[in-house]
Amino acid sequence: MLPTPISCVALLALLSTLPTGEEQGAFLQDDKALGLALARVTQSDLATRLAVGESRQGRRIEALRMAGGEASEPRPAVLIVGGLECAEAWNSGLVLGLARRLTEEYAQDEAVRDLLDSTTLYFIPRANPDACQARFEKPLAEKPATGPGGDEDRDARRGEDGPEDINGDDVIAWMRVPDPSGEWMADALDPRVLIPVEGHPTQRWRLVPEGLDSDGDGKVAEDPPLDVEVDRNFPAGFEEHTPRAGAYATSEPESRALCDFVLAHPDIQMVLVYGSRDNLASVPEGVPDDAPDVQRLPPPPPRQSDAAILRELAQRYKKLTGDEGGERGDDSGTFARWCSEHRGLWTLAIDPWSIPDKEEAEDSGSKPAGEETSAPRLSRQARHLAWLEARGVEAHLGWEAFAHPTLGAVEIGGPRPYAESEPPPGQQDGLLQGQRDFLVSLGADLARLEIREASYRRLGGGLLEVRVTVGNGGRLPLFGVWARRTRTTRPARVELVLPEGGERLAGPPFERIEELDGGAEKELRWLVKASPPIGVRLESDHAGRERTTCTEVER
Amino acid sequence: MICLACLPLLLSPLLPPLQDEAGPQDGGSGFPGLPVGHTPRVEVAWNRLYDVEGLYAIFDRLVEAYPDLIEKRILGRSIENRELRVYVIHAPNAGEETDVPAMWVDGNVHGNEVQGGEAVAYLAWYLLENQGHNARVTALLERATFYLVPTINPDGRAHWFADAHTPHSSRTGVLPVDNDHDGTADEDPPNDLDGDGQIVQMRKYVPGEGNFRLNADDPRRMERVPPNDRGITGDWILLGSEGIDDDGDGRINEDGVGGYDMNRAWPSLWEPEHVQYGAGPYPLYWPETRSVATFILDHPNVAAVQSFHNAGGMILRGPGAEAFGSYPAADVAVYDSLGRKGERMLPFYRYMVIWKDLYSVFGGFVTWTYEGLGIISFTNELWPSKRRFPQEDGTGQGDAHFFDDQLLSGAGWVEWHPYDHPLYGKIEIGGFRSDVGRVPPTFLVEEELHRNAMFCLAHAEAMPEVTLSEPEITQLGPETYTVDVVLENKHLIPTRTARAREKHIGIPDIVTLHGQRVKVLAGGVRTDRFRPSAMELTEEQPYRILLEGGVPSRGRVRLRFFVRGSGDFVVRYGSQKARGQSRQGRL
Repeated sequence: MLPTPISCVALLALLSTLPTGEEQGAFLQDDKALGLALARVTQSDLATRLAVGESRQGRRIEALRMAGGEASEPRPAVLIVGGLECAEAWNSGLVLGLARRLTEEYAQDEAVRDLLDSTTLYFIPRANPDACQARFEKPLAEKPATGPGGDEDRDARRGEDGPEDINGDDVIAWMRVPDPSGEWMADALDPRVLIPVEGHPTQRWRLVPEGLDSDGDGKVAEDPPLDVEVDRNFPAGFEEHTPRAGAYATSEPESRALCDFVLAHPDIQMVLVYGSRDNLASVPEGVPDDAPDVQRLPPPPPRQSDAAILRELAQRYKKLTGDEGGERGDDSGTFARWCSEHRGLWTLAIDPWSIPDKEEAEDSGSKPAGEETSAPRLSRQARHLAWLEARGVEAHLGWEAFAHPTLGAVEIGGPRPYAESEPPPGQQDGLLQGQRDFLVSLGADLARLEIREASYRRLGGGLLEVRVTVGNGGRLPLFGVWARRTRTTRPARVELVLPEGGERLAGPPFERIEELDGGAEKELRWLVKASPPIGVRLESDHAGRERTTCTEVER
Repeated sequence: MICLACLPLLLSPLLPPLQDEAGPQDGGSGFPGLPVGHTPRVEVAWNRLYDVEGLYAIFDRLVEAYPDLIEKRILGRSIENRELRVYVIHAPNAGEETDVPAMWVDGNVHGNEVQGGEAVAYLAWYLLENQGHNARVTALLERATFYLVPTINPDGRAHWFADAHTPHSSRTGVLPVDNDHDGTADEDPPNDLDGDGQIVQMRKYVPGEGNFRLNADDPRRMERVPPNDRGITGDWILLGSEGIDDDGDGRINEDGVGGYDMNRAWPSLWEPEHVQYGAGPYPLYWPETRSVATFILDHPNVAAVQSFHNAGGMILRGPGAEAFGSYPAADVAVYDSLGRKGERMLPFYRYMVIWKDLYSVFGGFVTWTYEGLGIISFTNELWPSKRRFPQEDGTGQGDAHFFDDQLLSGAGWVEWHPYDHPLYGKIEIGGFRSDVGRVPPTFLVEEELHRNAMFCLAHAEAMPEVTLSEPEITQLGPETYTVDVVLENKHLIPTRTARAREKHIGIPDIVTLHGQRVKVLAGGVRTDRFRPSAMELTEEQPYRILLEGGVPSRGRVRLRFFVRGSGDFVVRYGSQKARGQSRQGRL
């Protein structure tokens, strides 16, 4: 499906009646609020609204195209995606907040103007609206899956025994069940918190999602009605025969729509995916640039040269945002992995916020192996809970006794859904600023081709030697090592435009450029028989276009 | 147990209505393959290959002649909006279409590999002509459905027939692709320079500067001059397929129509273009492939798959790539049994593993239907050229000319003739026509179709058929009993392949016992026929025994329920790939 601009004239009339001062930092927005915020951004001349697709439940997935200056001219583009996962519904507001900030700053801020006058930005704030919707529904629950359910408990029935709110508190939480062989025990200093069993605790628990044994098989909430997660449904690293991955890669309308959006926009050079996974936290060494295929399959990227570039970007990201990065996480079947591994795009998976935990950082530092401290310490989970509660977040539900019809006496409670994944309101302004600074900084990284010299020299007899120098004004290479393998973006092309009757005597009809490092240049030569003017045309899908006329130089 | 020889007699009451309806032109005894005394109701010239309309017209006639047995459905549409048709063959007395195992048979996913379409049509025709007449076919259609797709790539087929092509071109679909990355799609195809409706070869006379010479006995044939240091050269060079540099980029014929491979598009072990040419940007990218996949996923009763390609004479199974590893031994045994039978039925066909014996294929169709869906699946590469000379090697260039000269009266060869090429100057154009090399000549088409259709029949007959024994009741005490039943599958293919079991594909087979005044105390599978206590008891819900492994190939599953109560009960068996069964009993 090709994206098409959406008319929002009618909406503009409505918006003019809305208060203009948005709550700076209120990232968490339901579909309606997000739609209005999106419409507000498109009041700017810089932004256009595009349709990306429709979710399984019929919600619209939309994008913003943002560009200043000669916006119709092809130029490098960055795609920024949020709202791909249920627990990350809040980051739709962050992504849209970035868009809004840039439109607000365009007139005054030179760096923003430079970026938008030379770069196209595509924002897809909520790529998975069905999953994000769970954040705003009652009972409150984290529901990452939006696609069809399988038969997870292998009882020849599909999705018949999912989690439920059985104590009527409008939250689907956890049940802890006393169990001598349970794998959980209470934290010594905060007994609300359950941690994996260590030693020989007096009380052990088993954790079960809140629910009943709806299918009477002795197991509780083991076969939910939905299984497929959109951000596991992309082709790279697709986990076939895994319920969360789906029947096949791109079986979900959302994942297919995102793929089609990328395919329809070959100007995209870089992708930023906001979510729970982070490929900037610790960029791997990568495999050698010329690593051979094994059983006809190339070792997964990054290649070493590309990894070095990613590390530089990661370093800058950390410096500008103060974010030390989250967990790399399992990226099987994710959108970010598809963009990187199959499309060869510079792809940054960003987990923009996590609970600051100095103790954890120290723990992972210099403590000698095997050293034990005798005094009890708060567990990681308890520290996170304390941090949230100190900021007024009701992050724990407590444990409430409940007589379960099949499990007997249990307690229902545990961490409040979403509490640990969402930054408290006070954190949000700084977060937006850091991400904005990083995004703006990327403008200077993108590969940008330019014609640095275009000249001809008369050789006599009507023959001209034409020299054209093409440079890359960005810091990134025109194509990374891996992108030259995937070849999903066409090489840049340089060709001469000769006047009528002109003849090319030596040199190709057009030169393809596949390799050009950041800051580097390449000289091309032709021999022609023609009367000037001699035109030069430079075209690249993702690094700009230029046309010029050659000037004469002396012999 | 009914003896096979008696079946025609037992089935004879079914015959009269068909004979009556058929009228005097019906031979009345089907058309099993005997040349005397049989006349088909629908006459089809099986010594020809048909364009899309012609191929669909055969089916239309079959639908008209056998409206109760075959139904046309539309799977989807191609890029050029042609119908993707699936024909469903299902006998009314077989129960619901999806309650019985089904065989999927398709052809022509590669547009130029056309005779697969006729093979599918022949299979349909053979089944319909013989249903009610021939005991084997009648019995099969009482327990099996067929989903028949004569062409998955109707656009490619249509263009191969209508336009100038080589034997190898029009393999792709027709969605434009910028194969040469110059910003324009499909702008430099081969060109029928001389307008004779064929794309053949170009050669140029370059005295003393070539690497080819003409065969001394037959100047039509080009021979490569072996590399040497003695200055011996040829007088000719070969310039490839007929064409010009349409887009002026210095290359010829490098960006033709389409430019992808719909048999590299399927979801299991799919790899992108930089690993596997033609795969597209993601699995099932093209509407033809997605429509087919959706249909198959919606029909979990499909228990056998056959896909027809050309050429070479092969019965292929996966894995398509070494990286997959091996198939489970139990499934390989099923494959081997069918594959070896196929080798006997199909002279000069070899039973092969795709990656090991042919080449690597990532994202192939039959590898998806097995690896992804757990269905025993074959690809047959039709037309082994050895069929031309069964007694000798006969696969050289000279043999091709001999065959064409002597058996086709030279009709397959376009004589070298001069042409003034815009780039190469004076050249000659000539070579074998597009319908030579990958498809059989007329007089061998029918045999090829018949043998392959019969291989499908053999494969379909191997689909599981489960019988449920009468319950055997043994009293243990007051109102307490054991109820024993045995599931038996006499056929080669299990109800759940080892692959399906390992990967939890689909849903398990299930056996239940219900009775109004009966409580099932325990139940499970007996693991040793001689030791009654050797059992795997179900954990919960003992009235409901799940069989992840299904009913094995030519095997039995023994089940025992411990029950308490009295009165009637019913035992039911259900499976996605075998007809359900039930038996009643009384305590």
